[in-house]
Amino acid sequence: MLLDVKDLKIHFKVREGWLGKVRGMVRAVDGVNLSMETGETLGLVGESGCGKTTLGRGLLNLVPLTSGTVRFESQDLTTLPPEALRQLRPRMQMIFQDPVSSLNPRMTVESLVTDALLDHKQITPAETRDKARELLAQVGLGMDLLRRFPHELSGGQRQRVSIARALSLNPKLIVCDEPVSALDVSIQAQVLNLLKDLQQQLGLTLLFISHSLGVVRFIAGRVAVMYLGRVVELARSEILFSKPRHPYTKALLQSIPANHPDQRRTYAPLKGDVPNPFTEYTGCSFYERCPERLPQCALEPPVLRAGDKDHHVSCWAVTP
Amino acid sequence: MSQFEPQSSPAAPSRAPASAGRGSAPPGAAPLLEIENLGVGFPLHRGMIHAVNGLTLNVGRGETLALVGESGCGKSITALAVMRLVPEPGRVLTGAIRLNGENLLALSSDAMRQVRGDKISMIFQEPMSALNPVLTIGYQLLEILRLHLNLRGRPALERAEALLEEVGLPHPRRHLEEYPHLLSGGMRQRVMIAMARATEPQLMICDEPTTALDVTVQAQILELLRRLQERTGMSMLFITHDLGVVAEVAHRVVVMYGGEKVEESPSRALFNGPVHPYTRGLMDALPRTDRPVDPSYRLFTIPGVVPHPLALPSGCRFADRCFCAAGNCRATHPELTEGAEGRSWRCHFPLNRQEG
Repeated sequence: MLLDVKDLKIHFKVREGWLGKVRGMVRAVDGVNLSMETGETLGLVGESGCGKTTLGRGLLNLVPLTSGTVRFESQDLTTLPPEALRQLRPRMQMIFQDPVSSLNPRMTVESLVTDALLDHKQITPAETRDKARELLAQVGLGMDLLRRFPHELSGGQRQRVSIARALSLNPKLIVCDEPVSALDVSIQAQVLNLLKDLQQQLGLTLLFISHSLGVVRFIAGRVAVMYLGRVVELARSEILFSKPRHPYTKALLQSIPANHPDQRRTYAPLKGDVPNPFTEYTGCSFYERCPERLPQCALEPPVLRAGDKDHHVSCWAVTP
Repeated sequence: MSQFEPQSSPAAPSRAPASAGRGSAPPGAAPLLEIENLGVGFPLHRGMIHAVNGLTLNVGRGETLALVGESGCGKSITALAVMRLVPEPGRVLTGAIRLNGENLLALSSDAMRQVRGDKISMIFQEPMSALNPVLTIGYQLLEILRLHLNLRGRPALERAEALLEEVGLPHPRRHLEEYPHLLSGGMRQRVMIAMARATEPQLMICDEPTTALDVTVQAQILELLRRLQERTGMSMLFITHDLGVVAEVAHRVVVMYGGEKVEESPSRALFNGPVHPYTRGLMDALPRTDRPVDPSYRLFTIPGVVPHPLALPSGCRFADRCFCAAGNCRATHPELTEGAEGRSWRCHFPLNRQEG
């Protein structure tokens, strides 16, 4: 097992006024259990505010964790001293949604993709040119881009540079946070194919965060659905998409726009918005919007239970 | 009609005095909006960027026309040209834009200001940037009613509440006193739609109205727009990059590429089989949830990128990325070919077509 997350919680204090009085807690991630095997792609889907980005960052220790453990290659990241964590960092990388803000505008493509290698003393300055060429070739970019700056690149090229940069240190795990959401459809398909190619060639482990169910269906072998800080359903991709069990997952799938005008829905499957994350629940956080709710759902929060074929569901109305 | 009903009152809002031409038109009537040979350019130091080139389209009464394309294809600029809001230094170079037969480009700025709001309104992708954050929703809605319908006091307040109720906001009276930041993205977009509906315009321009929304909320907003159209007979010019959204709302579709119309078709026919290779590529590049995916499966890709607007190819603008381009595609710029059943295309080698 490459990554094992146990009961991870990431809560943020919300302060108000100039004295910074704590007004409440946002439970961005509220008790998540996940594990990933080497070489698999796990898709993490959910709507904005469900905590999927915070979870992704939490796994790499990029945000302070409130409680729980994150084990990467059997080492608990939550208790690792800073220098040991730094030594481990090359093995886990991240690709962000917006390459404009994640690439330093003053660095050339060559220095962007080799910066981390120099920092970790894995290459000497004399080797940068050759290494940069190799990395760009790996992501399908030409040598002519070496001296360019990020603003001179197209959106797709920038995201390829981000990928090359993430690959430079030979990571085991890459957390991809909405890597294709800002791209046009035709470019999105190119980048998705590239990520799938690289994942298979290099045996990478990807945590792929996306709000787009189609994208996750294409790239992920297993999918976790998040709602308000919790994983509500987790299953192999083909099972989740063909036989969803949690009412929220069903509603999400039914909300996807039609592929043909003849397949239009007549009504929206789910009413209301994702509630304010301050709200505290005694029972299930999906209770108010849930079309299948039972009286007990308001009283006690459901837990993620394993069913057939590793199909995990967190819902009282579903028997595992 | 739908499960939406319980949220909104069945009582239709009182009709505004300025509303005209409501309801569906008799068949064969002239289209509501006609755009003819529209050209919009942005003069830069290095030359003129032709954002929209020779675009002709029309929107019928009670009809939704989707304008589809990727970033930079000119779809949003077309919408802004209809509102006569093309940002400086851009300007309309050629063509005419007629609403009810009247050329909007020839109107004085004062007359145009009345058309905006009275007859055409617009909703945007990001409602937060279109709403004023320091004014209450009530203030912003009542301002429209005062300026365009001369409604004040109690009648204005009642109308404002009815509008918010119509778009499915749960507590209209309370929302009138709230500031935009208190609402979720979906509720803000509902407020925008209420504001756009305030004057019962004949044409609503929707510029990517659901792009910033989550998928469950997107489904709600699309349903709301369809229901409003059924009830009021308004026309919609719907700008989007998302073919799924097109399948949900559009009656007819215009696909744009590099500032030009490359395909026009009734929606059903387009999804049955697109004629232009670009449209085909857009459809096949979409990852779908209803098909099994095995490890060797790859998405169809359109190679390369959109041509730079200052270096448009002299032949077909899509030729360099096209899977069926041949010799004369790079040499001769294809003209628009008119086919049967309201379809047209700009391609030397149209797919699924013997004619043309």
